[in-house]
Amino acid sequence: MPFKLVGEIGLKFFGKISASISHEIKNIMAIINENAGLIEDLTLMSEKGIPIDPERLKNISAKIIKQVARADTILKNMNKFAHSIDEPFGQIELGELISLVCGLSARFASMKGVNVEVNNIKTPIIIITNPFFMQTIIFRCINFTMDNCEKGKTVFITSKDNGNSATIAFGKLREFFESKENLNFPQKEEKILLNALKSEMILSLDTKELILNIPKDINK
Amino acid sequence: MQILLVDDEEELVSTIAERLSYRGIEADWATSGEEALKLVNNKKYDLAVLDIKMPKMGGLKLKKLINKKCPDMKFIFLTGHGSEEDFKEGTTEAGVDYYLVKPVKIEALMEKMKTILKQER
Repeated sequence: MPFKLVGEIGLKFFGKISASISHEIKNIMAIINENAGLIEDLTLMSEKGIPIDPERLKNISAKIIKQVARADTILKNMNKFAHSIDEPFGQIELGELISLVCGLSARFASMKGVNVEVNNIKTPIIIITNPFFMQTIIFRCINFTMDNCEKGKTVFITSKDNGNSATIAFGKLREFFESKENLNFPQKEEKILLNALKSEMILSLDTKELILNIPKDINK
Repeated sequence: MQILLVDDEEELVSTIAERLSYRGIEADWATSGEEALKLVNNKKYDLAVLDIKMPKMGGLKLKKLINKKCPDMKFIFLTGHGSEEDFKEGTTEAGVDYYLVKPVKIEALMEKMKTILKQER
């Protein structure tokens, strides 16, 4: 396994997610900052004899609470993401991991004007893998599908248990992918990750999906 | 002075507009590049405050489109970058003359607006 290259790809992913989260937290801080400033403005105005409407204060307070909840969700995801590096191999529930990567990708999706819908099966799919690199390859698949999805701009992600393996399907890709040659994916970095994860990527021309095939236990 | 504020975070942009109004500055606001272009088509603004990163159309692209119709309009960019140093890299060539890093102090925003518009007179 080309450890140095896998490490570089992972570090790049970690940096990208951290930068995205810091941007989002900055936005949240900016909203809280303006609302705190607004309370200050209203207080100064009330000192000059202009009464404050209690409903107005309730409304500002609700906005601040909403932003704190938003930050809490983002930071919970970030914490899970950061701890995914703790162990080289770990037991994970695939649906949870997909949802986490979708949460981490939310800002990228919003920037691209794309919706991401996850349809996980109700039965948990437990796999043993490298959690961090699995997140990296899932993120890259989501990103590719976001850039190449059909009109309507929704990426659908479904997972499936196949006994000794599991699959994650990303769709639907645009019509122009008439052959695998047009796809230009996976590229070098994805191939290194796939190799490290003992996984494979298949383009399904019938369903217009990118399918990630992963072993249930990477050590077997 | 006629000000246009554009940021995809509605709660941010509407609150800044309200706070500016308490300071005697009337500002219109939009939450996307498309909305902003509609406003620019119907009203003449002296200055626009644009978020750099917005879905579909970012602040830099929006500036270019606005400039085609309003070449004299001035711009301040808002950024969520970690620091000014992070943001400075590579932005001067893109036409970013004035910017503020979020979260922004309303006094700093007003000061920058006044400085830019004073320079033009």
